[in-house]
Amino acid sequence: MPSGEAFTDGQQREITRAVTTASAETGLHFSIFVGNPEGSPRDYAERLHAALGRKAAQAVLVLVAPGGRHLEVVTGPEASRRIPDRACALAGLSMRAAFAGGDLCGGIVTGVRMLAETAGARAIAGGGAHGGSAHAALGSRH
Amino acid sequence: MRYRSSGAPYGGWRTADPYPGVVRYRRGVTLPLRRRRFRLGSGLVGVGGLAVSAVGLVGLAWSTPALADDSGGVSNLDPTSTGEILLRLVLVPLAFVIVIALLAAAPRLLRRPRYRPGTPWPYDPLWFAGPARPEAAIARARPARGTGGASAEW
Repeated sequence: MPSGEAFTDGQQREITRAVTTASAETGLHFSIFVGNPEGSPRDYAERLHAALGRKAAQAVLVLVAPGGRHLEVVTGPEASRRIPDRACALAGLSMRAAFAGGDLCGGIVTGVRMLAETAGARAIAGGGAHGGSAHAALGSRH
Repeated sequence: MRYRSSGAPYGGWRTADPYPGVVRYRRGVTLPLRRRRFRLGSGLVGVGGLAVSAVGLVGLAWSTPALADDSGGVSNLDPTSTGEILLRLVLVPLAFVIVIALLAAAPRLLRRPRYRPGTPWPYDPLWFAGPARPEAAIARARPARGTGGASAEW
């Protein structure tokens, strides 16, 4: 089944615009994956993040698995210094609320904006020392 | 598993984006009516309403000559006018009913089905701002240490 049917053209444009704007404003690379993961969602999200290649260090990958109702946010080493895990969890909370209501597009756009605002604020403040290698758990996972 | 990436669109075309690393794409035209689900309940109500309306109008058409008969039992109705009465009292209102019903149902028919949590996700993966060749990139990807993030379920 073609993937494009999952979102309308308008929704795809909206998500693309949010990703483009977030990347331009923060200097980080935002990437959104919507689909069913192969195996563990966290492991698959980290593989997807690594698949971004040279951009992975500054990348923020959001995996949305509507079928399994999983959400994963993976930040690269440089991105995690500007977007702490707590901010990722907070954005995840907001996205989760939208997804539970059936609004995939709105949840993705909201989450990307929240992550971008966090990264931008950190950059203006001179860069934060938050973050780290661990990823925050939200809900019953990890 | 097939992937669609903004860097490697399938069945579409892409244009340069003002921001490096992000490529917009547009897929081909799809017919939104292709995946419409016919709701049995509302469909039955609609069909039933139309049937009741049609029967009522036919009955009214047939009874009209009798109601108008004031000649003491001698009908002066032109037999050819029955078809005309049917046309005016049945087909024209029926056409109005159908047009109004279509106009009322059009927004719902054209709307894409909303995602419902817990239902399967039968679509191919969609990757915004992903690598140019998703399959190859995933195959050779080795997750690095030092990543952060969060997990959630809904």
